[in-house]
Amino acid sequence: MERTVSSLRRVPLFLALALVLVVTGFFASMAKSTNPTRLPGGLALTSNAESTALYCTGLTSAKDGASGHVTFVNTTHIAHLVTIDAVSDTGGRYARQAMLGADKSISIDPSARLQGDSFGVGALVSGGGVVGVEVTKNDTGEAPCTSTGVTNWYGSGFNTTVGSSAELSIYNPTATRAVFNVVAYSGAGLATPAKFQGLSLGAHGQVELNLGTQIVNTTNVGVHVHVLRGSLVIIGVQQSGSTVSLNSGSSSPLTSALFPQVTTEQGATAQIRLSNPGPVAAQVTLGVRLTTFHIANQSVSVPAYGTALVTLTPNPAIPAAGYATVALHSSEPVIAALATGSGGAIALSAPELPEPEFLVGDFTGLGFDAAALTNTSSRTITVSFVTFPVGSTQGANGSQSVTYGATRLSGNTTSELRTDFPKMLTLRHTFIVVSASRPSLLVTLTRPTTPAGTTLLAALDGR
Amino acid sequence: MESRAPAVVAVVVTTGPGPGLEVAVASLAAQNYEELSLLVVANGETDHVSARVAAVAPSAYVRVLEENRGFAAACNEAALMVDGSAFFLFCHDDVRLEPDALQLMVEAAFRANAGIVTPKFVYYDDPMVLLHVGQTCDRFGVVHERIELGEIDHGQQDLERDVFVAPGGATLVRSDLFATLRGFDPIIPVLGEDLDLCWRAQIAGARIVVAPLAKVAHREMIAAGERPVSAIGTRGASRQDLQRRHQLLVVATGWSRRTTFSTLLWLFVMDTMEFGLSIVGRDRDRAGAILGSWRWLFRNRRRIRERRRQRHEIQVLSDDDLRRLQVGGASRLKRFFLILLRDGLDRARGILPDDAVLIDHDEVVDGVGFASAFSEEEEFDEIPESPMLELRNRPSRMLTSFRSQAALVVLVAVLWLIGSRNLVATHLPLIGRLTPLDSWWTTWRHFFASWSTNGVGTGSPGAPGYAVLAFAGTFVLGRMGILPRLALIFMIPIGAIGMSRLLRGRVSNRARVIGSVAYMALPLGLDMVSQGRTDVLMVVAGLPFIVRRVFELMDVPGFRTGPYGEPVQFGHRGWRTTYAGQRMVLVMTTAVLTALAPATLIVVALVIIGVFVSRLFEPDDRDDRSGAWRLLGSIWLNVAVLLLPLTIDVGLAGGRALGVFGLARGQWSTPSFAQLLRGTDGTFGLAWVGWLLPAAAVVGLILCRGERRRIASKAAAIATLTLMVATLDARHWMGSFAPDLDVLLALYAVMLALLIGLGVSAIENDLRQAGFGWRQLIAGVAVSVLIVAAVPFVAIFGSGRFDLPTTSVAESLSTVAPSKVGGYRVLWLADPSVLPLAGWSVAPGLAAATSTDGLPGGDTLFTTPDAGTSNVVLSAVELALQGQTVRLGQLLAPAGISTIVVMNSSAPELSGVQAVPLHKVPKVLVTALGHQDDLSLVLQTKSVEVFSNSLFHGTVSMIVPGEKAPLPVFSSSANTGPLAINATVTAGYAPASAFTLDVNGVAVPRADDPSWTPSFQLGTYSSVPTGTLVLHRLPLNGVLALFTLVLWLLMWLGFGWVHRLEWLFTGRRRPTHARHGADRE
Repeated sequence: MERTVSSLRRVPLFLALALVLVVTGFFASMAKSTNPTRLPGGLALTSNAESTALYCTGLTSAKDGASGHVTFVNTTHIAHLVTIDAVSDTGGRYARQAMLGADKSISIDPSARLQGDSFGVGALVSGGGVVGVEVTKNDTGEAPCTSTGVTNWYGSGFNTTVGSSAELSIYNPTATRAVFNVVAYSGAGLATPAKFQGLSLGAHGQVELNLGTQIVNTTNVGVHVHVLRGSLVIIGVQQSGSTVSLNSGSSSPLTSALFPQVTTEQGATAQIRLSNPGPVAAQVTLGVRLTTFHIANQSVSVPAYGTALVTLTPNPAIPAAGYATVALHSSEPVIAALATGSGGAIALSAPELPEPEFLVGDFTGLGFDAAALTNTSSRTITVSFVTFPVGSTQGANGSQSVTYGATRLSGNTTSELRTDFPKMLTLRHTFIVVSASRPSLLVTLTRPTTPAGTTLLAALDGR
Repeated sequence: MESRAPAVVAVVVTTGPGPGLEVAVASLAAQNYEELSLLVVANGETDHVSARVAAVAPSAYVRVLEENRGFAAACNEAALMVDGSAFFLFCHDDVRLEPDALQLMVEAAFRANAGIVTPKFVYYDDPMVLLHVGQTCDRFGVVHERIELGEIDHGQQDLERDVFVAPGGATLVRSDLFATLRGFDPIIPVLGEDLDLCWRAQIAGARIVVAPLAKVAHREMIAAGERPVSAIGTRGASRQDLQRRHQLLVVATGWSRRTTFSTLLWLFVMDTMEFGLSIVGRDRDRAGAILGSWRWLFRNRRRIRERRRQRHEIQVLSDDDLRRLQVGGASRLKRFFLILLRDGLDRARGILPDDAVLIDHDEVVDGVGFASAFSEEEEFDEIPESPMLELRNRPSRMLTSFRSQAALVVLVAVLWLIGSRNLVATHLPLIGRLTPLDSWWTTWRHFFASWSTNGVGTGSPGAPGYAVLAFAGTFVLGRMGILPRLALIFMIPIGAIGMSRLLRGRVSNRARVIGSVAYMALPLGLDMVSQGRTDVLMVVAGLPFIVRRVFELMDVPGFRTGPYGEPVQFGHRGWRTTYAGQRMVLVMTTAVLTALAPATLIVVALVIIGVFVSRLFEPDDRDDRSGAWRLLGSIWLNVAVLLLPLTIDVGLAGGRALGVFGLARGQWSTPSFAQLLRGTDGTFGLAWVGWLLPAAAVVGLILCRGERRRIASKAAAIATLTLMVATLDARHWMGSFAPDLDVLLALYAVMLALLIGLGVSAIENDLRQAGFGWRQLIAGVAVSVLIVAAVPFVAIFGSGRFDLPTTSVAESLSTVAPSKVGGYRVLWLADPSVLPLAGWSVAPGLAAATSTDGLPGGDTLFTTPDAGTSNVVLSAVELALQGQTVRLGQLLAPAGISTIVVMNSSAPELSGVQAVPLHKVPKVLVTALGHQDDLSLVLQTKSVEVFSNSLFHGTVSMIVPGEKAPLPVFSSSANTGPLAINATVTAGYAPASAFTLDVNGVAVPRADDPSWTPSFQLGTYSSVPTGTLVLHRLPLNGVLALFTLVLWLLMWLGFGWVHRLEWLFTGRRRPTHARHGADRE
């Protein structure tokens, strides 16, 4: 017999179905998904990798003044087979395989092995946890090797004036022929030299572009390398007098950046050099923190496709009182570089990006004048230190590392490494792995110079 | 002379020639009522009236008015002339009264204490046909007849009763009431004066009765258009204008303030809708009448205030009392939708063909219907008052006859064939599952094969899908290339037939047709055609049949009208009709579809669970909750048995077992929740019109009542459940369980179409039972939506191939094939919805598969859920994806992978030619591949990126002493060729144990190599050795496949064929007429 069902009886069902739909729709709408674009990075992750590669470029032959060597350091406790493949701009090639023991390092001076003016070095590592650095012979330039190429590269602050030279050292780390364009920004605006357009670089090839041949006698030149096909490793080499610096650049323009160790010493020069790759003028503000001094913000407008600079030292508004921390904020994405030096010579440093791990190593034996730990986030992080002595180039597996505990670093603060880790300056041939609980750590090093702080070094972040 | 009869003054108002005047006056003069005085008012027409009257009624008074002030004013004028009468009989000049009509009316007035009495009106020319027996009306002033049109007078209406309206023609009004009401309102000269007078009389508490024994024939000359309206105040106004404005006036002054507001508001809404339709239909007269009526009302606001004041003075009945005397709902709207549903929009609007098809006798006919108000022809507005016209113009019933339904089906079929014209013979792109099929024999071999080429090779049992394809190929005589075309062209229509069967018996044939066409118009099927997803199209075709069987087996109301057959022995005739037989039909249907699209098993489960959930809230009479789970278990178990090879594969797959139902798509390219609601996963249904059919389905859900509601509740529960699972699936909230989203949406589409069919049926049936309100409004919306939704459906036929691309990414890559030596594999990396062959999941949004020696072929349609040794390839890709290797080429080289194809869409987008949805792989993959030290990017477009492996050395290679790199050996077509002395031969085939290398006819022992690749160390030979790679496998897969086929054969025999074929074994033929009942004996 058919049962009579009140129409009200379907209300609970409809309510339940509607509730399910609403809840499902709400959570589905809240969970916006994006296509993941970034590869994981950092020293820790690469330690258990199947294989990694490190690429260095920027070293030149002695006649070009940026000769030097590349050092690879195994930060893990197991040996790795490293295949080093060095190439020159003239097509020369040198390959070597070596078993890099635990906590060991290996160096290569490509200018001693190859004919040519500039060199690129690639190291294929069976495993991970190996980092590399290239250091010029006069110890003024130092840059970490990177593990991947980029499709866009931005650099700023180059000088092509008399007595200076600025080159882009470009290495193709992949088996794909790369095609790229180079554009420059200066006080005269945008420059797209025909000779820098549609350039092609073969697989594992190396080339050096002299900016001075196209952007003649200009100060503060910004550069954008746009890779149309493939990916490239690029270093900007700035030679200013006897000072050679390696500018790692960045893969994208920034609206904010942090320069934790900017010298304010008497006799020193410190400038923030800016380029604007966009069509809208950028309003840039520099906030300067210097011990107990209250310093007014420094502002500058960077015209579209143009450049500008802010001199922090000497600057009557900023007292000479050691190292300042400079925070940059811009209304539009800009390219920034810190130019430091004395007596007219400058060295360029690109702003660092926060990472979870750094390797601090004294690759020159000159030690450090200062080493700053900066927490770029607003939350407190825990920073831990592991040291290990670096032995000969090759060796067996083993572990001699010593853990020196950890320290807490408050949000948006900068701390001197030797405060937390007093033995740092006494540990010769010792590397320190600095790890943070969050990827918001910057480690900034300066070499002992007079005046202080004119040579900045980059801690190795395993890029 | 003294008389006991009350005095009655008959007032005959005549205008113009008045051809019936003599007859009217004569009939009055012939009344057998003694106290009757006759007064003829000539309304502005003086020609010969006195003489004409005198000729038939010498005692009659004649009053000539100078101008035509209308019927109402003339009556009022006459009333002023008379003193002392008890009643007025207001008559038109085109009536003919029976001699006793007045007496009977007066008697009725006394008997019922009525204020107004109306006679029974019959047709002037045919007194046997009833015209009016009193009238009623709704709250909007729409007059409603109490009889059927053309109803023959058998005396069936001869019962004295109360009515709301006494239709004009011959109305007996008590004099004191007439005075109280202040007579007719002269602002209504004609067309509506009767309604107004009666309405006010009702307010005053007077009874209005019909005296059916009093018979009056009425010619209705104005309504028939035989006499123009020429009274003062009607200049330039059509009858439609007058009717509308007078109805509006009555409504505006007939209610209390609050009711007036709500009533006018509703009326405004309805008029707005009508106005919109009139504008769309270019019906200027109607649009003008609607606007004019409101404008006229505004202009006479002072008169309205006055009438409202009068109303207040005479009011006796409250609004509620008054409403109880009226009919409920909105007669005009009801009539419009009824005609719209039955006969279509044109008929509803009034531009109908002059077919003389009678309206259903159960149809409600209104005096002034909404539909008639929509007529473009002026006389159509008068249909209720002009029955002869109505009889002349009976509309056809659109889509209710078999002929019209067949015509629609043929039309849709023809349109579909036109729409698929380019799928018949032109090239099919290599997308979705449109991989060129192997020959009929080879396809069978894939099912029986001991080893297949999937990944790096596998010895897993062959997929049952190959058996289904090969079996289907039998019916096209082995022309396997026809099968994909048949699937693309006919699967959706077959699904529509299934939908029609699903709705059969539950709804009208018209609702079935609409539901089926809606199923074809829903975007999912069309999207699947455009994406070449023949597997999902099979589900689209078969799912309605499956749902119907599940509903039957679960005793969903209306789906199983009769009991199942008596238990019959398996194999005997009649077993098919038993519960077990029906369940087996369901199992076998499900198994066939599961073999092609394993997610079918999930949607069947969703149907059962949906019904179960619905019953938790709304139990059915025969509600067996545990039965649902028994049925589900039975289906799953039996399907697992019937698809034994696939079941074994799943059992061996371990963690990847759930991947059999589908691979996780990139949630950045899966449909949004809004798209899921619309049931779309492609280019169709993305525009706003995509919302129309789901909206119509929701309306259907709301409107359904009774048994339809129970079905609708279950459909809604299943749809919601499906939508929820699809959302969880799209967002990866179910882990590795990611059933094919499109198969889920196929079920959703079935439920939407089912709800649409039920909704149409509800509008046909359930709406009548409901009073006027929101249901009518949303029903109107639903009907409009269904009409509008037909437009984009027609538009899809334009391309001739339902937007199936003409080219594909895969085909454009044929030139990247490397050398013919050594054989090679191509690694395809893409979102699972883009991959043109079966593969395995690497990460959400990324699936991997390999093809051998070029493009995917007929052997790549199905793969085992267990990747087995092919995990080496997947792991290598995972490492690259995680940035943990820079030598992917080296890792892939042992598998003979020469090329890596990364696809972001299945076909290239050609501006203006073809638009293909982009389903991008994780961007990090392209980044990672770009970082590989040994991969070279050789092609990069928006749709595809191709990387060449610089370390490729052939699928079969040898390492010759002294050489650093391996050399490819053998050819792509044959695994045999010359080798080098002392070389080490490595084959990129798994499992290693299945292969041996014969050199000069002698087997070479396999090297003890931990690698997954079989390698062989050659010795020294006197001449160049010739090697042959040989596969050695026990034919266990073949035995398993044969066993499975035998199982299917047994099941088929179970449907009575054992009994039928018994004579083959016993030699005895049974009589062909034996019934299964007798067989049981």
